[in-house]
Amino acid sequence: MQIEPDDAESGFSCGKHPLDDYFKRHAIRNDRAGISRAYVLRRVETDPPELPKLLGFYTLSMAVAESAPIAKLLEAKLPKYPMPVALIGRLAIDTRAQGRRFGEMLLMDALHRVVDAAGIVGCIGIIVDAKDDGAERFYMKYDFVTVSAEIWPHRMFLPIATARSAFSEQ
Amino acid sequence: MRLEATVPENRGAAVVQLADELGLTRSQLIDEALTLFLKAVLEVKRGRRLVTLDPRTAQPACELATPTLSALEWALRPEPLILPAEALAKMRAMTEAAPKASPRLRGAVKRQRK
Repeated sequence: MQIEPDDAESGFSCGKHPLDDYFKRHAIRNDRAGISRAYVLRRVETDPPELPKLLGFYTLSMAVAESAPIAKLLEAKLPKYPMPVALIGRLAIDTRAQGRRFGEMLLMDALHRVVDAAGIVGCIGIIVDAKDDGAERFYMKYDFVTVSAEIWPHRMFLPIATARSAFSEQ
Repeated sequence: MRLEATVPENRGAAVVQLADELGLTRSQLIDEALTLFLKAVLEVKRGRRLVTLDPRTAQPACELATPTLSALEWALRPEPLILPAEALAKMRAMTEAAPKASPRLRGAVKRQRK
């Protein structure tokens, strides 16, 4: 579901300050400004009532992956063309709701949206920013491969054809 | 001009029901729906959002979105993502020889659909 203004005051906390701060202060504003879409997962009737109302969120935007100008000059043989990708910038689950596959649920929702979108706009794959080891291991479980690991966050990539095959083989 | 389309059963039923309710033919109903959608696409391409408005408060009540409109909107504002050239080369190689989804990823999709 798309984020609503009240969500910022839901008390969401994933235990990581930058993500909590982003959700509270910037997610709705960036969503409304069209900078990056924020989607939330809310507790439903079948969930245990002790879970928080807002279980998690992720952000999605389109990006153009390109190399630094200096690298372009120095390494003429490497790819030069910008590549359109979808970017899952942030994905977080409230600490009270962790360990229940809600992260997987949000990631699959994001992949589904990107696979749908890739039917009408150019998109060669999905990039995620793994903020730490735990996040990197999480994304690796779902076929993401680390393409840049010099500094954190590590950038990971999943080709759109791989994502599409996951949905088409059902 | 005659157009043919395949839609989910429930959507087809809703079209028939709504056409009866509004006293329109199915063609009239679909024509109006398409006019609205074409307008929606044009507005999104101009960088605008679609919302419903509550006339009592003049405040937006809810935002309208479809996968197509969201995709168009995303495509309008791509942000630059600077990566090392090696990373781009790796992405390109992965794209050219993309593996099929692993059983684990397929399993996650299956669980999501349930």
